[in-house]
Amino acid sequence: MTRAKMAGWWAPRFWTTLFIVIILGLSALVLSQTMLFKELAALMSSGRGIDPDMIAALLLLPILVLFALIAAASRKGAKAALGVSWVMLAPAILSLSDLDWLTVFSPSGSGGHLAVALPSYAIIAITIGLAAACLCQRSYSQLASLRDKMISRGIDAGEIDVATSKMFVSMSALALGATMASIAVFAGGSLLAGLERPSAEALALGLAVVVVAVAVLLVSLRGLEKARSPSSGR
Amino acid sequence: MSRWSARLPTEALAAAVPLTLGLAFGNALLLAVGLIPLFYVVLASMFSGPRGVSLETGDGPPRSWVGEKITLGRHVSVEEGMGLVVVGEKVPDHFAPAEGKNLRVHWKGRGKLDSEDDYSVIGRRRGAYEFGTATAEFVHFSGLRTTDNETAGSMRELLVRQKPLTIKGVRDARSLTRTPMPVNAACRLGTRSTDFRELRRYVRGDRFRDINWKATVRLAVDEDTPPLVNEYEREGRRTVWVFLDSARSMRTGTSVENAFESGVAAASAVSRYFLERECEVGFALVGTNRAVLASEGKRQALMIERMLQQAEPEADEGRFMQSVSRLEGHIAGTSPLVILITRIVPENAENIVQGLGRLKAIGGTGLALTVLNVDAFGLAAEDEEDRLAGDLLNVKNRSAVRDVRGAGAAVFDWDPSTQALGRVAVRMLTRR
Repeated sequence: MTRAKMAGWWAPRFWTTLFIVIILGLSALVLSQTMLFKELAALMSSGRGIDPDMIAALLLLPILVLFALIAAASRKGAKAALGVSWVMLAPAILSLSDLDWLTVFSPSGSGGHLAVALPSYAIIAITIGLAAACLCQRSYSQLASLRDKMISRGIDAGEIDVATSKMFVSMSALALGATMASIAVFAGGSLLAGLERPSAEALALGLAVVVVAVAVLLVSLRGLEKARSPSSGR
Repeated sequence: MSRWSARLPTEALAAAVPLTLGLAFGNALLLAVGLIPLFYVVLASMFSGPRGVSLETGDGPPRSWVGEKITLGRHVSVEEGMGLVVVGEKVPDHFAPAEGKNLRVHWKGRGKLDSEDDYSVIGRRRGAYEFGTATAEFVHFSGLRTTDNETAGSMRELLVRQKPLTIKGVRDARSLTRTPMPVNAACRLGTRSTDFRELRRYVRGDRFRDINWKATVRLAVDEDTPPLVNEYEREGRRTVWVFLDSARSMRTGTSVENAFESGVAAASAVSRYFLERECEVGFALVGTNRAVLASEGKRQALMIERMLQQAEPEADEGRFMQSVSRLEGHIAGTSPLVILITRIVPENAENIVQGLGRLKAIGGTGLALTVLNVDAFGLAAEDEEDRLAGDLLNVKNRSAVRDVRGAGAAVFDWDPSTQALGRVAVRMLTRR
């Protein structure tokens, strides 16, 4: 792929869609590894066999993911795909809650129905990734409507493509900075609280990310100073 | 003035929902998720959008011809901030883009933005147009803030003139002419001799020093009697009067190409043709009070051009007779060649016939009348069916054309969409 093509409108669309598709796949993985896999294992071990509900759920998951993948290619579909990802991740996210509302409302419940097979740092990373993907999707959507508006006003499509692509890079950098800052706060909070959850691995990951986030912020601030300086070259 | 964009409420919602859920479930992960859009807004606020803009519009040409490419330019410079810079200049409706775009978008990165935006347009209709006010709008690179339009640049006027059509192929109009320049044509405004000719009533445009006050007092019947002026024999040139109809029916065609625009081009060409052949040419815009009295030379050509430049087809139908009456003091006795450029329709035929009759009465024995009938349906026709419809509509006008011919005028039909003016002029000015 040539550099010129990468600088066009093709690039933001490609990277946003790719990001959403990856997050969607990971969310599906989390769902299959938590709810379905555990339920399936329990059923198999009890020797009762797979009931029709489970078969339906097993069939529904790949179909849902397939539809979401197809939808991710369009601007409105990407929103729906992210919604599906949130739905698939919800049980895993809620499993990390300190307060289990389901247990509160049904005291007879086992309390273990939201148990997660995957390590908690994976859930944390995927959830943060999903939030970042949502931010990217909103940026992309805003840029796409801005681009359409500009083209309808008579601006050359090639010119606006280059400009919006550069703006998308800046937006992505800003989104990355915001994500890193959020991770830093999360990791710092966990360290201070000394909680068991998130796990030690998650905290280690958080610490590593804090270092990166601080570095990114420092670089950004330095860039800001340079940009504000009137003598800076183009 | 910078303001928040419509994205801010979306980001606020994206932060509020996970934060609320995180608090409700005691979920640190959801709290972290809610912080991401919040941090996005905070980080975006730390960086400014494009500012410190300097916008200068270049000096374009003061005048051009219809159909000529004009290059306009501007310089945009932005010192600080990051984001999109949209710079535009309003181009009047009658201009078509030729090269480049009048609306440009630039990415203002971390360095200074300096850009020369040149673009070309083609004027498609004569007139005076205003250029020079450029506007700039800015979008913050986060998409969270936008800026209202900033206007800069000084207004300048561009005069687009009708390109003069040249009449070729008429080598010696005097020997070949079918509608000849009258042999005894005389000039009322040429070089004046000292030979007294007559006393006549004062008409608008006469010099005050020509008023014969003694004769006025002696011969006045009452206080409303106009002053009398001395008329002297002139070593004059032959006179041509060009009348251009500015009735609303002359708008037939498109807003850019219509009967009136073709008429303007024809009036300009005919005036120049006769001025170059040392005739005195007068011009009148039928339906208005505006006229240029007969004279010769380059100055006269410029005055006629100026009047044509400002002319618009806004008058009522059938005002030829009134124009003739208004100018009869200047036409009387000169036996001029009169060329009327109009669209003959049943609504104005009677008035044209009356006007021609009046011209015959005052103009002298050698007066020649020519009518250039502009058939503009072809200008609006997009296909063969439109053309056929135009032909059918023209059938309705045939009887009106016959009436005008019957009044003694030589009528020449001209379809500007298919016929060059030069070819029609050859028919008008030479024997067939």
